[in-house]
Amino acid sequence: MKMLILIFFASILTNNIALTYFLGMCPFIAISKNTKAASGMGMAVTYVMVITAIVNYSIYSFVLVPMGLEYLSFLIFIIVIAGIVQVLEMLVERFFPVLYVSFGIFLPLITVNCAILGLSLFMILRDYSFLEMVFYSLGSGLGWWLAIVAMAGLRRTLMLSEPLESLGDAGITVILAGFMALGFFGFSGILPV
Amino acid sequence: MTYLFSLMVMNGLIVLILVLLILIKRYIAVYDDYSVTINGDMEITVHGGQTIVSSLTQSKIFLPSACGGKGTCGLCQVKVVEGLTDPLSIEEAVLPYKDIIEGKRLGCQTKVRGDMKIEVPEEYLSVKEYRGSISNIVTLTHDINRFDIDLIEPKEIDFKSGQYVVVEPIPGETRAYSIASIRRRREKISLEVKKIPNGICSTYLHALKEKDELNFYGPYGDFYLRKNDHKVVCVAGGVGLAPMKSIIDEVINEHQGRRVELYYGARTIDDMYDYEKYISMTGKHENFKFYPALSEVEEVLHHPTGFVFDTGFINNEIASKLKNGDDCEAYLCGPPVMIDFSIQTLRDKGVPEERIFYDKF
Ligand SMILES: Cc1cc2nc3c(=O)[nH]c(=O)nc-3n(C[C@H](O)[C@H](O)[C@H](O)COP(=O)(O)OP(=O)(O)OC[C@H]3O[C@@H](n4cnc5c(N)ncnc54)[C@H](O)[C@@H]3O)c2cc1C
Ligand code: FES
Repeated sequence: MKMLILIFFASILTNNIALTYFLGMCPFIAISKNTKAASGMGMAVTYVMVITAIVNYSIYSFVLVPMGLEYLSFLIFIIVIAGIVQVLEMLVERFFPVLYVSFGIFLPLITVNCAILGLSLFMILRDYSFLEMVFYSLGSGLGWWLAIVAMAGLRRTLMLSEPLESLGDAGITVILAGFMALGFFGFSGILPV
Repeated sequence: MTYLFSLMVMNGLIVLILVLLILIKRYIAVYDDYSVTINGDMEITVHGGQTIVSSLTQSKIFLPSACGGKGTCGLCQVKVVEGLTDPLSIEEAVLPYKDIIEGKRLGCQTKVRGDMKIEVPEEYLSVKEYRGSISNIVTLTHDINRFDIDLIEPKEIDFKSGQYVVVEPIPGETRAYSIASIRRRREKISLEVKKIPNGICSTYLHALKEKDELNFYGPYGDFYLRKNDHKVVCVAGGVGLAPMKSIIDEVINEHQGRRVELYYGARTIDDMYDYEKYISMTGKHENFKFYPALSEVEEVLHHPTGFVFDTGFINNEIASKLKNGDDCEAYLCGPPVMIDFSIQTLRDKGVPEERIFYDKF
């Protein structure tokens, strides 16, 4: 139990997928202009992460490993992610219009989000058990969500200051992300994972 | 053997996902038919899950669109009276907050998910789909061509001077182009198209040849000549000259005694076209004045007839040539920056806000 809680918090704070691995950077920079959109994107990433991790984990351990086809994992994971996003989009749009408005429109963007694929690959590398994997993916999703919402908040205050013009919109955002990463680094003292 | 296995697993998985997707689309995520009432009197039945634009298109009601339904041009606005859903973030980015609360939505983004009542401008209901064939192509400048289009079906078009049509050269890619021919000639229209580097539709149009067919919808737009006695001030930048042609023609030939001035800006003389025509018109019609200005030219240019092309931006030309406090009405067309600056100058000259009309390209 202690291990699960550790994995959960580590993936939110010390191993934050956006700020320590710098994965999922395109939406992180493109959609962090306002907090509401950022939050929608974060929610979508969290949903998709948990569901794809579970499916990918099952396919990996029940099909690929027994058949000795581990080398196919990259391809399979990508296809599964694309398929699941599509299914999820159709279902959410049909049955949860309110949710669709808040995060459904971001779903198609997630198909090619490297944070999702990265997560599936990490969980294999780290040999997580099923439960550990669930906590890991949930934590990573929430961590990404936290990071993008924090970034959106920072960028809102950025509007009041005047960064160098040559840094542009994306430049200053990447620098901010660097500082945030340093900030998150501070958490590493409290968690041994 | 492993090859066979890998192939089987990969293909099996893909087939499985496809079957799943088809099943969900067919049997689970299905929508009912809903009724959409337009402007209170017209009711159509549409299959849910489609956008308002595509469901209206099926009933031959064509909303304007200049971005191919990407939610960037804002032309496809409708007012949702009943069955309003929360705005999408794309809509919040394009429409002013005030309009959103009033129930305005983008027809290309909002989907039909229940019975709805919507309002669209009355004139959209008479918009038709036209089929035409290109009869003549004229090179006007290094990047602007004029396309003369003979109407095939319907055979005639009725429009107000200054309005535009929506062209769909590639399915799904729609763009707006002002009608650059005069209103009195109803069996054909002309479009003047500037080739934008890497622009999808303008490049495509520039590759068309004579006799090629082109479909378009129209006419659309609030930018049209009003009938009254005010002096008409036309301000055009580059290819923004297109809609001015019918406006100027209508004022001179149909509005007895009304005055019209054309302020026409471009970078260099090579970016200007049809100026010969307007120079000769100034001699023939005392009610017509022509003030060209070139923004990237150092010295004032003299035409063989003695006509002068000033240097500088078009708003400076307005500032120096337009009489203060004249009873004017202004029509502006061109790049957004030019329009913003010129509106400022016109306001300083005392032209009332409600008499300034513009189309930003
Ligand atoms: C009401 C209305 C009337 C119009 N009338 C005319 C007309 O009479 N003649 C005409 O030529 N055009 C007119 N336009 C503009 C036209 O609709 C298209 O936007 C334009 O032709 C570019 O389309 P595209 O598919 O070639 O470029 P896209 O593929 O849409 O754009 C390619 C890139 O070029 C940029 N871009 C778009 N427009 C310009 C521009 N003007 N200058 C520099 N970069 C640009 C875009 O940001 C994009 O990055 C009108 C637009 C409106 C809204
Ligand atoms: S915003 Fe351009 S078509 Fe809807």
